[in-house]
Amino acid sequence: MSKIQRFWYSGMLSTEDWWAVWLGLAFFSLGLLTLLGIDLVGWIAYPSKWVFSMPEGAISKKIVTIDKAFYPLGGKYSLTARDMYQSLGPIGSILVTYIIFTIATMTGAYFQKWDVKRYFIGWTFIFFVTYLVWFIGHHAFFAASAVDLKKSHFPAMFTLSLGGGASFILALMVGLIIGNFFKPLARYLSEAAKPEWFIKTAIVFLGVKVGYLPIKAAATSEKIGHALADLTLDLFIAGAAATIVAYLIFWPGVYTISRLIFKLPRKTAAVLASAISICGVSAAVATGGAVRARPVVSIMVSSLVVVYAVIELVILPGIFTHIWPGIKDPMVAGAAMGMAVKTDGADAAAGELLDEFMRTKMEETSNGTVIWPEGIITVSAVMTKIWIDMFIGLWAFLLAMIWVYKIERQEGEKVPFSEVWFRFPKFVLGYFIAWFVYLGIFFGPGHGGSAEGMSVLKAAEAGAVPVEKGMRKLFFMLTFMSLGIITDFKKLAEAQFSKMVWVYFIALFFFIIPVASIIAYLFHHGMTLPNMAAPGSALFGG
Amino acid sequence: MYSDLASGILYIIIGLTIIYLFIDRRKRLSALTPEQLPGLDHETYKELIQLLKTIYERMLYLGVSFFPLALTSFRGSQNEAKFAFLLLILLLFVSNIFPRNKVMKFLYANKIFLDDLKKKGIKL
Repeated sequence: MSKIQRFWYSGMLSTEDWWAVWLGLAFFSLGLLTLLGIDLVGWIAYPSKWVFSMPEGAISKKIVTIDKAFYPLGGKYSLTARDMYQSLGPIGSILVTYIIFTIATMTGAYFQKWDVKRYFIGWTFIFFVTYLVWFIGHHAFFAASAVDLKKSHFPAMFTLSLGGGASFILALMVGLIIGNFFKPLARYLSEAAKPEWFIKTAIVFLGVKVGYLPIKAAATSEKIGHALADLTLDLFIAGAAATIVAYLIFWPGVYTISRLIFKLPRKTAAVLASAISICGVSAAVATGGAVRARPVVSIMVSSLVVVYAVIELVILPGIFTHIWPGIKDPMVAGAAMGMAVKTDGADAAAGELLDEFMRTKMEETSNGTVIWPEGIITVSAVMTKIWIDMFIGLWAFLLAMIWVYKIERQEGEKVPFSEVWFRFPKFVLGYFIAWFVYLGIFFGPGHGGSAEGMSVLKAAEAGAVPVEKGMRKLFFMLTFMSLGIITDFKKLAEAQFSKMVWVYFIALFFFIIPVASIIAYLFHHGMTLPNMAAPGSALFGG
Repeated sequence: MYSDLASGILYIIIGLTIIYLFIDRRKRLSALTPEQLPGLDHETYKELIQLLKTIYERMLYLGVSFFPLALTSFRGSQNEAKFAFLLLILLLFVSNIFPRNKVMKFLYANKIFLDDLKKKGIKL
């Protein structure tokens, strides 16, 4: 293994992974201050569905006019500083959001030794284009569903009903246009287009979301709060089980396809198998290091991972929503997504899209009588992914041992167990801390959602919502935009990739996705979601 | 060689037994009517049935998983293949603990005793 001397704390100030933890936990901690009556997170600018002008008889409920297209979340949720945040207005809140995140991310960029000047310019460009796309994507034509129209007393009209998913798709499209048609600009922006960093930070924020779900549900009904707490823990176990099974089937399957059908060299097949079957870029790099493949192999495979993840991101949410498993088994769809999409960014983003599509479809199909809690389908997609991420270290360690002790036996060489820690995805720590702290608040001072804990839960909500809703979605948007910017479709056409492109294509669409769906079905079928529209009923299976 | 054959047969018997239990329990569940559980409203009754169906289905997957395990024994496959299927069986078993636990909590919350359910032919 590596000859560089490393300590357990190595990389804490210099890696993307750790900086996702610091950034995520910093805002999570600021959010917690609302428990002490101090609100420092309500400034985050969040979009509403909007139209240029209200039709006659319509009311500003789910859909607002253009001047209210953004609002600071604290203006709605803060208990102690609502007036102050309301006074910021849409432009003010966007500017405050920009200033705070510029300082925060530039601190990370500085410690990671990036070109800070280029980062600043790139970040500023990406940030404002992202907000512009977020704004456009929330126009009622793209985002509003039939239920939104009905609740705002709008006349019946045609809309795409994509919910928040419209903004994600637009961000990806704009990013892809920049990445493929304005290549010099894309190269310049690449210093600030960091999808892995943004998504890992978003996943720490997602930890707040998972912990906050029962708190939110408790506001509707104590019973639903408990049902959601149970469901997230259920997903935790099912995700682990599904991931272990997926590892056992995926890796040998893809390795065999690469070796027997495409006759790839052993090391290339190993790197490719890890990338396609485990967790994309990180797994490719980790495996490349473990089996000592040529660095160019890992780089080539990594770029394929990114390109295919984008293709999956566009195709799978629609297929899972409208073809199979549909709204009957949303948790199966989420988990299958987690096992099939091979980068954290694309997976969480695809999960978010799936969540939007499924909830919108359910709401429409049931005519508004069934409303699923936002984010739980994303959680099922991310949970399997997180388990997959956690196993990367172990898998790299295992492969290193197989290569060192069996395939390339070398006298006296030893693989230190510390390798597992170095390969361990650290952002997962942030995710779990955020999750368990909010879960602790729910079951501890929140008294499990009963009346005596309600004041604490309300205070916790004021700090959690801006983080789990505003910041998480902003970082998802930044991920989509950055993913597009760094994706170069031309790479697929380059001759030296041809064999790997075909292995990837066949393995992914004819092996990984079908098997992932079966495994997800085995472990997640029958899981039901609470209906927020009917507090008396704890569960609704769809 | 003979031990592989014997364990293969044993796995098939276990698999068939579990599948038989699944068929039997699903049949009894289909015969259950809301009137037999008068304390439950329609939604709560549906919820219980959904949970029981989940438990039984996972039991079926568990039973079916014994067949490839038996196949690996008959073919005298390497230990890695056996390990993979045993692990799958273990994980399916573990993943069925949560819904079972949910049913127990559900029964407790609705003041239904397990014995009452058993008398109506419903087993966990």
